[in-house]
Formats: sequence, C-alpha cells, structure tokens
Amino acid sequence: MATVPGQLIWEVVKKNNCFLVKEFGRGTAGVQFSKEPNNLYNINSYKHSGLANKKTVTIQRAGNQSVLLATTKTKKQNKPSSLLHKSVMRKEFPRMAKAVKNQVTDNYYRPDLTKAALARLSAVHKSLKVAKSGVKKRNRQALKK
Amino acid sequence: MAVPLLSKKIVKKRVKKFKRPQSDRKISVKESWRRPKGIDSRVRRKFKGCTLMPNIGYGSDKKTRHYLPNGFKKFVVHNVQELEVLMMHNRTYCAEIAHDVSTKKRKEIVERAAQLDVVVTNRLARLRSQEDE
Repeated sequence: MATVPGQLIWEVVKKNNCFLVKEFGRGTAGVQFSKEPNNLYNINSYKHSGLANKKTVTIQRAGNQSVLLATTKTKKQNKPSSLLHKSVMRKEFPRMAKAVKNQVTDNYYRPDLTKAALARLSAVHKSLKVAKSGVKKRNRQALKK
Repeated sequence: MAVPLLSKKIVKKRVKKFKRPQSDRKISVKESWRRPKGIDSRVRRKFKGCTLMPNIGYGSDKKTRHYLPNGFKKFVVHNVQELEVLMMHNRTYCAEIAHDVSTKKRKEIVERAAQLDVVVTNRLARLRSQEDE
C-alpha cells in the first residue's frame, strides 16, 4: 500500500466498501456513514476515512471502563498486524484528554482531527459511565430547555 | 435521553393529501396524484374553487426537511455495529430498529443505545408479546 496515494484509494473505495452503511433517500434524505473503527466521526469522507489516510486515529472502548487510543504507523502500511500503535487508557478523563491531545495534535500527527478525537473520547467516556452506573433520566441540556 | 440540536420549529405547509381531481366520480380514477393535462381542464387552468395542485412552494424548509416530530432524523439500524455509527451523531439522528430484527437482538440494540445516548424510536416494539406469556 505504501506506493498507492491516499487520494487514489479514496476514489476506489468511496462508493462501496464493507464499512459503508447507507440509508437511501432522495436529496438530503440519504446519508452515508462508515463503520470503520479508525473513523472518528463515522462519516464517509476522505478526511475521516480510515482506509485512504496513512495517519488515522482510533478511539473506542476497550473492555470494561477503559478506552483504546490507537494511531496508525506510516511505515507499517504493508503489515496490517503491526499497523496500529495501541495504548489502553484507564485514567480519569482530564488525563485521557491530555493523552489524546498529545498523540494527535502536539506531535503534529493529525492536528486537523483534534476536535473530532476529543469529541469522540468524551462520547466513549460517557457511554462507559452510563454502562457502569445506569441511565439517568435527564441531563443538563434537557434541563436548560 | 439525547436532546436534538434542531432549534427551528418544524412547519408543514399542508398536511392534507393532494387528491387527483374527479377521483370521487369513478373507481378507475384513483386518488394518487396525476397532473391534469386536458386542454379545457379547470384544475389545470387553476380556476377559483378548484382542486389545488401540488407545487414546489409546498416544500418544507430545507433545515427541517426529513426531521421527525421528535426533532431527529431517522436512521434504520439492523444490528449493534450499525448503531455504533450514530454515537457521534446522537443529536441529529435517532435510530429505528429494522422490522425483521428479533426480540433478542432488539434488546441488545436498545441496551447499547441507552449507553450511547441514542434515541430509539421503536424501542418498545416486540416487548408486549413476551410479557403476556
């Protein structure tokens, strides 16, 4: 894969791949999402695609009460088994956020994905909290209304 | 429960159906809309008091188009993996479990949706028959 440019892969892969989830409809009724683990917003686009980009970020839950942060190694593109640089985070939220920021932005890896990565981290973290202590009926946003 | 991002009020300019003119006169003229094309047609010439014809002006605001009354857009989900996709979109999209999903898997989807804070429109479906037994 090392010799194939990302833009070309994207052109091949954008219309049909095993991760794509489509909802059909005319105009704005149809949407395309992507199931890729290394697609932060699950959007089918070149920027967020995990297949077409050499540098991608994965944030997902890893077992109970821990979050997996993984980035792809650019020099291992032809070795899928050792492609990911994984780290499992079990710390409290501010420290996890700092780790994500370190890995994504501060080392100039994918600064454009900072916001997406942090947003996903907080979503995953929230889901873990809910899984642990049950659903609360109201949240702050609902109260404001 | 997730709160929808939609701040605009959803306005439907017309909720009645557009019926095909003279469909009340003859069984073979069905109710589904066909544009009148006759040279003398009163409806086509838009006379006062005639059946109204549909046109683009009846369309909904682009910002609220395809939104459900609960303020979300709908996304049909067949399994948990497809639900996970909505994790980052839980304030614009709500999930609807597809009709051919079993009770057992419905439970898994509903449970995961609660964790991800995704609204499921038909989360109570297929619950009743089990309790009856």
